[in-house]
Amino acid sequence: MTRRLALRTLVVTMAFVAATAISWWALPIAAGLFGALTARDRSGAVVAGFAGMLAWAAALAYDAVIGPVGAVASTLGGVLQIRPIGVYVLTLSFAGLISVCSAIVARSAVRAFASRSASGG
Amino acid sequence: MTPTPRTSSPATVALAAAVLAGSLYIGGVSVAGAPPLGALLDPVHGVWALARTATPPATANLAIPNLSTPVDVRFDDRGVPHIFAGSVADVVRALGYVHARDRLFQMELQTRAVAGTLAELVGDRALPLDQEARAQGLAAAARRGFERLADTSGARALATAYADGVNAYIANMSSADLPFEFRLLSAQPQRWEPMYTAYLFARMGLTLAYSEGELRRDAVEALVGRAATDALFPVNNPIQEPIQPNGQRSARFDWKAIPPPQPGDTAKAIVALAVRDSRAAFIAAMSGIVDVAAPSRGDQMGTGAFAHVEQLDDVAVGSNNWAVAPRRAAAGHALLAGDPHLALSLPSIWYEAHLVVQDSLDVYGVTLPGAPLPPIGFTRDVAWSVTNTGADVADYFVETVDDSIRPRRYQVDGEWRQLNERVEAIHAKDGRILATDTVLETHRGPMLRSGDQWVSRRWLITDGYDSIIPFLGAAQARNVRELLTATEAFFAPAQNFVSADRDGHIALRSTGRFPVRTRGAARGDQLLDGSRSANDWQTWWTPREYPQAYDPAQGFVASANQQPKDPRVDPRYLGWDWPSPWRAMRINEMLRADSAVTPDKMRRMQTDPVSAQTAYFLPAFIAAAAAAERDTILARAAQMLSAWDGRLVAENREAVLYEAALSELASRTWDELAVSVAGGLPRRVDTPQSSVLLELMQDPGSLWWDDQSTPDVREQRDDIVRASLVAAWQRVVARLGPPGPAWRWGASRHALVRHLLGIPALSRENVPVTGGPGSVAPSSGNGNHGASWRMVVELGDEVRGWGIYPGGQSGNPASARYAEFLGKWSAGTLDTLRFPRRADDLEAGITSSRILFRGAP
Repeated sequence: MTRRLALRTLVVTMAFVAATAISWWALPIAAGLFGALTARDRSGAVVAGFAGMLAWAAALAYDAVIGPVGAVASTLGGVLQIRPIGVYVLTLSFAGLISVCSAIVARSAVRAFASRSASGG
Repeated sequence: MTPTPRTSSPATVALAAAVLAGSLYIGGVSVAGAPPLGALLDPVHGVWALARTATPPATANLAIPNLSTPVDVRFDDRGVPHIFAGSVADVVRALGYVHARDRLFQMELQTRAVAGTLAELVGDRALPLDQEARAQGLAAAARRGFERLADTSGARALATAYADGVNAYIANMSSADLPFEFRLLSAQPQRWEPMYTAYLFARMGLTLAYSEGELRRDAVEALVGRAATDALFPVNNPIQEPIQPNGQRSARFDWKAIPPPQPGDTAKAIVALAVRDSRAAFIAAMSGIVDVAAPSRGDQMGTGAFAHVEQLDDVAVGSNNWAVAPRRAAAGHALLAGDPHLALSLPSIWYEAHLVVQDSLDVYGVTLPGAPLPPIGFTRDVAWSVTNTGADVADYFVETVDDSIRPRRYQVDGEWRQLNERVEAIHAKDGRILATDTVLETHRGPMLRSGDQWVSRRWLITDGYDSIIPFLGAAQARNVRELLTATEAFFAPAQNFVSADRDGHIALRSTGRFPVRTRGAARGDQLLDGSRSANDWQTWWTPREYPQAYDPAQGFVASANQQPKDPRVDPRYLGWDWPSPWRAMRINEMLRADSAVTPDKMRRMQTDPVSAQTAYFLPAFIAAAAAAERDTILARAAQMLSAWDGRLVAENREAVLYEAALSELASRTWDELAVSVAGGLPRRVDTPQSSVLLELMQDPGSLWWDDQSTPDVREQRDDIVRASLVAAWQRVVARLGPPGPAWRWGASRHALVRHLLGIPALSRENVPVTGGPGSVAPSSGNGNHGASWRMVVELGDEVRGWGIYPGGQSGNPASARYAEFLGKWSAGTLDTLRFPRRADDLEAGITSSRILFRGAP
């Protein structure tokens, strides 16, 4: 079960990385799609949120391989008047937040549509 | 049976929807001036991408339109591009590209500052700067000047080639390449037009040749009368150590009596002060810093222990250059040194580059991002550096208008002429119109209202001019003679060119257009009557008349912004606002004393901590306090100063007291020039040079020594000197405590290298410096001026150069090259400048990256 969840999270993370390659706004769209597709799954939103954070963390890791990510964090942290670690937290939190919220909203919408269809309404 | 999934409660869904909507909103829309968070934090396209672009790829193959042959650009271990091309146009195209890659935001900001479109980039708060820029008319003048260039002119061709390079970079930019500042401002770079190079030169003209001296003089005259004003702000500095050698072996002191102050008109002076203040932010912006991030930071950042003290006016400026003939050099080769002082910024105003075109160009120097050729540098044969001449190229005319509130016509020689109306619409970031101003112009230039009068300005900088070809000529010169010929066409802002060549010749010449005024208005330091056309400029000095020297007998040439010509040699009016020649005196003293100069001695001279000024004021303080009773503050202060060697080094403690005492002395002496502004402390309308203060010191009984706040007592010089010393001691103790480590000069004086937007996190504060008032490297009180580039060149069989500037090649704050040179600059050391003849002469370990440009299809 755990392995399956991990594998699923990994696949979703990769999909979210691909979405982010388009632009940041593609992430909540992808998360919403995932939430809709897994509307019957109780852990779908959590997976989406976690995968959103992981996707951006992976992209940051890629940046770090190429260049001085720490310097960027220091620079932006200086401008925002927060510590560099706060910039990482802010970035990953933002990704997690838009992913989980988008998944919850999409899942609820699908369920609402499904229950209305089932009731013949 | 399929288990029923757990559903989210309506409240949870509503909360998620609300958070999502909020996140998407702040993610995609700028809120309260903050950039959209999503675009900013995006790890692929957002600010994090700066990490990927902080270090250029080892090799890149790129295209630039109109390139005639491939161009090879090798970046050395200091990030300096060595550009090898087949033609001058191609080398300039490649330079445009690398300038844009490393300094695109700087180029955009300086262009918009001149054009008066900053509000479109940084927001509504830039409106006053834009209004002032439009009123000055710099962009309009630069545009006119550029449009006058023939289609086939070399200047137009090079500006266009340069634009090709810049625009090739902009066109090829990925989202990851967008500079940090554009991200913060949610903006995109505009296309680079060839005339923007002319904008940049106009901006330099404003930085180096702008003066409202007549208006200041008018205010001073209102306070103390004409005779006193003429003596306090003389056309000829009372200490003569001119740029053009006059045969003297030391400075000459032309002391004159300063007439006593006459009763004045305080209200007029207050109006003048307000006019001056209204331009202060604009002048600062045009010097490089557009402070949109934290307007009040100037009060907080690096202003030293005595931020509240008005400095003597001759502290801030401080460019130097000198050249030594082979017979005075240890190795028998001509030597040249230069350190132009400007506003310090990150990224720096300068960008080092080496431009090579086989058989026609091989120049290393500092370039201005936005312009195609180095104004300072060296070739295989010749080296040159410049200081600002500071000639008077702006005159103000009191106009006779038909309506004092809404004038439409002005009178010249009894005839009414129509005022030109220029309507300027200033737009916000979102395109709406923020303001529409009407600028009135006479045939001389824009009019401004100063108190109850309309004043128009004739300013050389708004004539529009070509500064490209003279610098191309300098870069292609094979000896000093050729360099002098090539720079004859240099228009403005006038510069003191010092040069040396491999044949052992040295020269200097103050070069630029110098107006010849009419007999009735031979001087340009006073407001002129605009109703007489005879007061307009008539013609220009010829190059033969410029201040100059070629291989002078003394074996060296030097300049430090001081008065160019000894009035006994040539009494004609060139200007009046000459800094006291303390730096020149010290430089000349060192050069006269040494007949075995080396490049390293030249380097040390550039940060020499001795102030020539100290030799004159320090004994006065000590002598005035000689009769002080023991254990009094006066005695302790005098004792401390007596033990000082006069060196302004970081560890020194006496310098703090000395500087405070000198500041107090100026405040107490020139109290007649201060006016009380509602709600604030008294402020001086203007401050005479310290050389004038020294002139006054020769007259112990002058009425100027009388303290205006003690009407019943008539103070003498020594009373004021003693009071200044005591007050200085008390002030330093109040701020720093009893004499001790806190009194270190290094703790009081440091450089403040501010980011172009004034963002503290991107600036470097408290950078240690050596020097102070009157020294060769005169750190300014608030630290934001200093040596913007230091260079030493030895013109031997192989030309060798050393240099440093307070910044780094990259404008990317995340790059290791952003402030790479700052530590060495602070320490006064220089880097060896690599000067390969061929691209392959740069060894693999020295080449940090490479770009191969080919023509775009």
